[in-house]
Order: sequence, then C-alpha cells, then structure tokens
Amino acid sequence: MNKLSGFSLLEILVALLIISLITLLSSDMLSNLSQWKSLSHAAQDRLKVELLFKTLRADISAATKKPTGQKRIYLTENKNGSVEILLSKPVISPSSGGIKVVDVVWKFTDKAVLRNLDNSKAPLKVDLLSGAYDVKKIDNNIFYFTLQTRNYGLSQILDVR
Amino acid sequence: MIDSKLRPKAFILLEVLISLSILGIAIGLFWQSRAAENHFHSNILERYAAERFEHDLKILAELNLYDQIYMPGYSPLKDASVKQIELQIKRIKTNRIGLDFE
Repeated sequence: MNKLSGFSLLEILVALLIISLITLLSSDMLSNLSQWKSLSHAAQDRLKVELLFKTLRADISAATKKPTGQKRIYLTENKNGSVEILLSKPVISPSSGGIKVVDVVWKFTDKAVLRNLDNSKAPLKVDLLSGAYDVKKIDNNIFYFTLQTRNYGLSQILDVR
Repeated sequence: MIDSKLRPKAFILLEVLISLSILGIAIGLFWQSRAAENHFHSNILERYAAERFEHDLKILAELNLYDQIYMPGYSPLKDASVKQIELQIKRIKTNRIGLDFE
C-alpha cells in the first residue's frame, strides 16, 4: 500500500505554533518598517544639512578680511526666498602646492543647497524636499540664519565680523 | 535499497524547524540592525546639534544676547535653561556612539 506523502497533523501544528510566535515577536518590526524607513531617510537628509552647516561655519571662519578688518563676506536675501553667501578664503592649490585665495559661493534655494568653490563645474549639492530660509540680523554683522524644511528646522549664527 | 517511489515527497519536521529557526534569526538580526541604525542616527544628529549650539551660544554670550537663542533650531536638544543644556551637551559628548543601548 502506498504511503501518503505530506506533513502529519502534529508537524503542521508545531510549524503553525512557531510561525505564530515569530509573527508575534516581529509584529512590532513589521508595523514600524515603513516608519523606520522614512525616519532613516529623514535622518540621512538632515545629516547632510548638518555637514553643510559645519562646512559653512568653517568657510566663514576662514574667510579673508578687508583692510578694515571686517570679513569679506556678502550675504544676499533674494525676493524669491533664496539666500546667497559669497566669500573668499585661502586654500592649498592642488597643482602648485601653494596657497591661493578662491571664491566660495553658497546658494540656498527651496530645492537645494549648493556650494561652489572656485567656479567648480561640479559644485557640492544637497537636495531638499522644501526649504524656506530666514535671515535675522541680531547685531552688527551677526545674523541668525534658519533653514526650515517640512521635517525639521536648523538654526545657525553667521558671524561675519 | 529503498525504492525512490516510496520515499515521501515532503519536508521532514526537522527541516521545517531548522528553516523556521533561520528565518527567526534573520528577522531578529534585521530588527536589531534597524534599531541600531536609528539609534546611531539620533546620536550623531544630537552631536551635530550640540556642536552648532555651542558655537552659537559662544557668539551670543560674547554679545550678552543669551535670550536670542532659538531652541527649536537645535533639536533634538531639549528646550531648557542654558545650564541644563550645557549638561545635555556634556552627556552627549561622554556617550560613546552606538554603544550606549538602553
């Protein structure tokens, strides 16, 4: 007589028990999976902006000065809400190894932040979902710069003294 | 010799159990890695916010304009008195990134 192939009732019950245990343990993970994904993307985007702000601080700190002693930094707020920062700073020339002064242009628009060093053909660019900027003067040559996106807001003091 | 026609064409219980165990371990590791990633991100963001806050606070202190600080711009740092924020920063700095799981 041919033996029927397949699982026995006991085997099926044990397997179902294990599956339900695994599902129970991972239910939190499954329900939070999409939330985790969006959180992770938001954190990565924010991290990029934090790094940009850190670079901006370093650029401002290294900016060359006018004969009056004030830093050579020009900050422009455009009517469309974008902000531009133009400064010059010394860098080490990769070709000669000497020090040269180059222009650095920062452009903050609603869609992206761009940093162009010495008219580079490939500027540093970080895309934003939606960016709104606010520049508030708090003292002579000191500005409070705030970037507000859909998910977060970041403030940074620009000390252009 | 066993006739191949008589051999059952199905997994045995041990095989099913082993595959389920592997699945369980894989899901567990995935879950842990996701949790660690989130923890790592929030820790790094806290550090950057603290660094920004310190830089800005130094300038404001120089001008005696403490009250001008705009705390929502430094999240995840919590809105509190300057002393409490300094304590927060101290805690953030002494935390080792990724190793301080609660």
